[in-house]
Amino acid sequence: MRCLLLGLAALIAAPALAQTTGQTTAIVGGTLAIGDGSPPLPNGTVLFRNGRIVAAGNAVEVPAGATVIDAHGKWVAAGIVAGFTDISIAEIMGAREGNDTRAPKSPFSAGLDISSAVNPRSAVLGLERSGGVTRAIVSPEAAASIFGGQGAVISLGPDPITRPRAFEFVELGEQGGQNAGGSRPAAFAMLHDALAQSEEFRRNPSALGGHEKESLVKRSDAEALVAVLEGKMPLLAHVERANDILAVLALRNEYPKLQLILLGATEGWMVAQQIAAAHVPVIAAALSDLPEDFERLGATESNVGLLDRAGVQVAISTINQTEPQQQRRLTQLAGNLVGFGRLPGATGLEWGPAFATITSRPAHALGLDGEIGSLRRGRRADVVIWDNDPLELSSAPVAIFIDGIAQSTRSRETELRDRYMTPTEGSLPKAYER
Amino acid sequence: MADIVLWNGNPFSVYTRPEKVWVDGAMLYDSNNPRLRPVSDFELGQPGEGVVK
Repeated sequence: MRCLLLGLAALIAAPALAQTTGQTTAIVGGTLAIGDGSPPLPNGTVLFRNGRIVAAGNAVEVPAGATVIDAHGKWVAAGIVAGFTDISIAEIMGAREGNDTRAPKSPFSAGLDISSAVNPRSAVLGLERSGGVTRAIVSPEAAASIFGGQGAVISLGPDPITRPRAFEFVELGEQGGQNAGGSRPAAFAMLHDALAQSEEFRRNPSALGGHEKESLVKRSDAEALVAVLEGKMPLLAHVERANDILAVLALRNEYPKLQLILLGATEGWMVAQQIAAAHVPVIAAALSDLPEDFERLGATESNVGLLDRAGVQVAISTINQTEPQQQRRLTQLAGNLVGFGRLPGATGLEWGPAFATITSRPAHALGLDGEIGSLRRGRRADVVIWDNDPLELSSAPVAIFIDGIAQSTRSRETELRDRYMTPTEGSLPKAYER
Repeated sequence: MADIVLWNGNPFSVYTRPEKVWVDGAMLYDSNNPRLRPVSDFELGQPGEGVVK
């Protein structure tokens, strides 16, 4: 066995090590956080080769010739899958022209394809990746319509698009009502009419007008909505109020093939049994605990725990959090769920399910859990070595692999930190130091 | 001022919650005592009343 007991910094300096085709990498001795809901596993081994996980567990033999990384005293975890983000499609708040999340003046809606806006060179990626985020669900926002367009799943590594057109985003609560002209009935009227026109388009593509200025459905919108109607593209519906959740679940009575995903679902705990019975996954607002508007009067920190207890596949996201919604904070939000579970009378999650809410469960919601979100065999080798428990506030990644390729743990923020870390009296300004 | 928090673990840990809180020496919160878990006017009569915040 070629045993390279590398310092982890040295590993980053030589990323080619893990890229060699056919070369197996073995990370040994660490506490494994597999991401599938199982509890942390002490002293485990993770093997990956050709960008995919080969094995993870206690009884895993390291094959001869493998590159071995010693992770004793550290944690080896599945990379974080951020549940609902604008990573790579928006730079900063307040700079409208650098922000592709919304298109309020566009005549197009459901057909908008956010993958064309993904900028893999966005400075945001380095910061988020340095916090252990390896994949992200990137969604457009709805502006001129209830539909936002087609979202994507991206990588924070070298190959940016994991799945384009992964889902259609729709607003069906208070925001949907406002976008549709002022009320929830207007939002549902818009939804049914757009789907009816898309169904007509499916039967007879030449019959679709769509060229009139005021037409509800353009050709590209109809194409996207046909995929939704046929269940080929999931419909990610943002709703918070319990009754709005039931209205979304009821859509399947009329459109039986719909693949629904609920987003937000602050009052989900009130209708948790119905959500579970419908087998609809939820990407919940993490720790939405204040009644900030009328659709969230029933907000409680127990929401995620109660949904989980009812058997709902519940993930979490930073929706409803204060801006900027940095995804590297997801570990803290998942940790809060564990802490909350220890408060008398409250319902939280055990560590394994809490970690799954930011790894395998968002992947599962989009039907991608066979591909990303855990260290189970066959998944993409998105592996993060942490200096301690990844959900703890004081922990940080020390090595990051995406598709089995070692990534930098640095960002623009670490560059700035290091430049100003040690001031020297009498020297030239820091801008002269390189 | 006797403003004291008894935490259920390391206060810097993400898993830690306040267990008891004293303000001016008076215990105003006890996570183990429902009578010392206040319900605000806003919550009263709302769908989430009685659900732990």
